[in-house]
Amino acid sequence: METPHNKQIDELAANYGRDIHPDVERALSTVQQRIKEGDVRKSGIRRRWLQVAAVGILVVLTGYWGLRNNGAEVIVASAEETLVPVTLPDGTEVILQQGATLAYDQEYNQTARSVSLSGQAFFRVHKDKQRPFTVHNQDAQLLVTGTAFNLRVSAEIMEVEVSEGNVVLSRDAERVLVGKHQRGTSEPGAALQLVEAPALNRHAWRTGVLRFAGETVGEALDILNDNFGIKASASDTCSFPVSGLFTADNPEAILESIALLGGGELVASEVSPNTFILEGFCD
Amino acid sequence: MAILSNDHEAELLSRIQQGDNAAFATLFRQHYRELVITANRFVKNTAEAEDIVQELFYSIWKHRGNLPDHINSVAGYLHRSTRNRALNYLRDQQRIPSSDGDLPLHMVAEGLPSDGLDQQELQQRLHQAIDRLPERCRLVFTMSKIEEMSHQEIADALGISPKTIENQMTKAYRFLREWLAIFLWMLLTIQGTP
Repeated sequence: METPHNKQIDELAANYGRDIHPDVERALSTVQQRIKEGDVRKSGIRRRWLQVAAVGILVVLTGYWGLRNNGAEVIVASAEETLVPVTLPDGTEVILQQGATLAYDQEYNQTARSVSLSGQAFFRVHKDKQRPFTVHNQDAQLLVTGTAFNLRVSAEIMEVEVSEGNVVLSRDAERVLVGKHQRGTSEPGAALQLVEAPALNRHAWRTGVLRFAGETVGEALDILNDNFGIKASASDTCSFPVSGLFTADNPEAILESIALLGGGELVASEVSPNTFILEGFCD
Repeated sequence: MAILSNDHEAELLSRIQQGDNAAFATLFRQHYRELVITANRFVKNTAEAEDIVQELFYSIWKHRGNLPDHINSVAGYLHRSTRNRALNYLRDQQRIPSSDGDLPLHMVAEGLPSDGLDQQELQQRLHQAIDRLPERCRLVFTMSKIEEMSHQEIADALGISPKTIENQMTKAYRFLREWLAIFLWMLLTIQGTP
């Protein structure tokens, strides 16, 4: 068995599997938290053994659940956890926003790395030029070789805001390179858009930091709606520039600040949750 | 992180038995990554590997009163426990193949070798080739050559005969030798060496 070639193979194989770098401190916190809670929750491994269940049952669970669904590994962020960290098999780190769904199959990290996302998530993609990282929805595709970005995806819209590196947003024959502090958007009926995003406001759901520099009320409300999944609108047609640094992670508090900025007030809907109207600032 | 001596680690275990959280955290930090690497070699999924290792440490804490009084090597103890848990997990998930599987028909080169091919890239390419082995073959190769398990240990773990292990190793080496030969030929072609 010990031929020269086999010996060379043995030497090259010695470090097989060593190219992973788990977050030790985060893992230690997870275990210590579990010890503190006295194992009220089931262990992570047993969670992964659960089969696909009704969505209603999934919603009440805390943390994230790995499920097997037609050969795909599906990770769903529950409705109760606002930020769910996930590490993919190649070391790519993802933070899922509440209600987001990330899916990848068992071939992930073999020759390529392909995931699908519904909802919003932050990615820090492990650099690997040999295996391009792609995210897709029904129309567009994002190609990444190793970078950090916020991504918001629905069936028709894909919006990426890059904090480090570059990504390529493509749809049919259209292609746009989205660089650091830029935002690219694919929407039906419009060409791919590329705008500057120095404030990285699309990341606010995760960072808790919003910087407005003269955006209109409508633009500011769009950013809040997309970040936090709320429905805020202005009853008035006039506008005023919104500027300032908002560090609250509570969207309602930010809305109140904006309303106050314009001399108006914030009214929360009594019927629909997370629905707000700004009014009275055109008076 | 500096490597702790076995005496020091034995003392850590003793302190963990007394309920010392700081000692538990030190042991965790010292060994976590290596144990995840071990588990991941078996289950090929870093999230599952992390769960397995976290479960091990949770279990160490939960049953700290029953830890062995004397352990020759703490690192060895943790490593063997992780390996066993990873194999149990594969068994419970029915992910230990019962058949040999087929070697890939085509040598797919994921990208051409770079001009300045170094040992690190060659190593990375070989690791990708190992990943392409049929799963049982990959497990046998990994357990024998990387985890340095004896053929008997592998036979017991996978429920196969020592003869099957020899066959799997022959298959693995043949595939990896052919892969290496093709890859080095591609490199020579790129460099223009006749």
